Amino acid sequence: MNTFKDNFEIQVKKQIDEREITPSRDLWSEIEFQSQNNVPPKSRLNWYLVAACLVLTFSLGAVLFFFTETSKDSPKMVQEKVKPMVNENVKTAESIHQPIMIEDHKVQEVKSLAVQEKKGNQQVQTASDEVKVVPKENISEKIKEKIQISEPKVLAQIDSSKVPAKKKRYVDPSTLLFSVEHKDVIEKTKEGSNVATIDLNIK
Amino acid sequence: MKLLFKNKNEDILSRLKKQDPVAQKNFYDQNVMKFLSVAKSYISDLYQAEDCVIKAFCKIFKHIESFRGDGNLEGWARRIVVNECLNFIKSHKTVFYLDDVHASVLEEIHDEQTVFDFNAQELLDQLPDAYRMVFNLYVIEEYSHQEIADTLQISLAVSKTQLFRAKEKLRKIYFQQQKKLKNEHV
Repeated sequence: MNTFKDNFEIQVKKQIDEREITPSRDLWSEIEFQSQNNVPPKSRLNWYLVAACLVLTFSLGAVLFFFTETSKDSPKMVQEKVKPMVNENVKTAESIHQPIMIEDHKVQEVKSLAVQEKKGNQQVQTASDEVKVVPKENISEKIKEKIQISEPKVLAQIDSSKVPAKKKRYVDPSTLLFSVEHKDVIEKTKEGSNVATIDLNIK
Repeated sequence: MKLLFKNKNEDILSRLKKQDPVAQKNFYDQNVMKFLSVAKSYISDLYQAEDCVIKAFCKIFKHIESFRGDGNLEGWARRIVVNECLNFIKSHKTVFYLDDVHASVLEEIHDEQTVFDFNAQELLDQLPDAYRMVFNLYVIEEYSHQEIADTLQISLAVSKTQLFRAKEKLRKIYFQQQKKLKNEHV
């Protein structure tokens, strides 16, 4: 019984395993056709991936390029904006030199006045009542101090960027001289403007 | 000799993985008749069996990268052919798995014969699809019942029952054929 079963199954398996059937039609051409139809979508997908990668790299490159450009330009913009503030606060070289010249003139003027005073024993009356005669050396020292103090201030004043770059302010030399000479009198208001209070009654 | 054979196989495999058309054609020529025989054991209609073989070859060439080289390439490809045939039967035909078992035919199989004169394909063609699938997977592909159950998504018991019934049916068909032949001779 078992022998029959086993033999029967073995015979079936043997026949199927040993058998080879020749195709009735050309299967290879159909396989080629189907595999060719299957391959292009894969390659298209790859091309899409490549294109996407290229676009990404170009966009990233562009972003980085423009970012670096703007970062390079930004200091220039800051410099332009800072300039007027420097003028305003009497911190540029020009503004520093001008007062020196002015001071020189004033000192000369004062000197000449002093000579006149000596000669005529007359009191010297300047435009302001409390103008102190400062020697040239002291002025220059003061200015140096100013420069030393003012330089870090310029860097710190970020609010200056609010001031438009094109709008340039010019300082009147006499006002500038006054501000230097009467530093103690000048006070800053809450709004940020400088106000000089002069007591005319003091003799 | 074995080393040479292995090297040859590896060469074919590497060329197939590169989608070399010449290697694909060689592989096709070597295996098409064998694979068609396998397909024909599942699907009685030759044209449909050929369709399955075409699809199987396309899958083999497409998914050749997934073959890790652990076993035999032909064995791996043969499995694809079998799966393709099973999918075809499932998709094109409604398969009924009958659970009831009747050992009614057993009495007729007492004639022990050592020499068999039958055409296996003719016998298999007369089997219902459900029987044929289980019988082929168990006897020809040497799957276990668990593997058959997993492949056909049936229970283990159903697999065993289907195999038993398939064998009974085959013997019945065989003896009917023999009786017919005897009657013709008489």
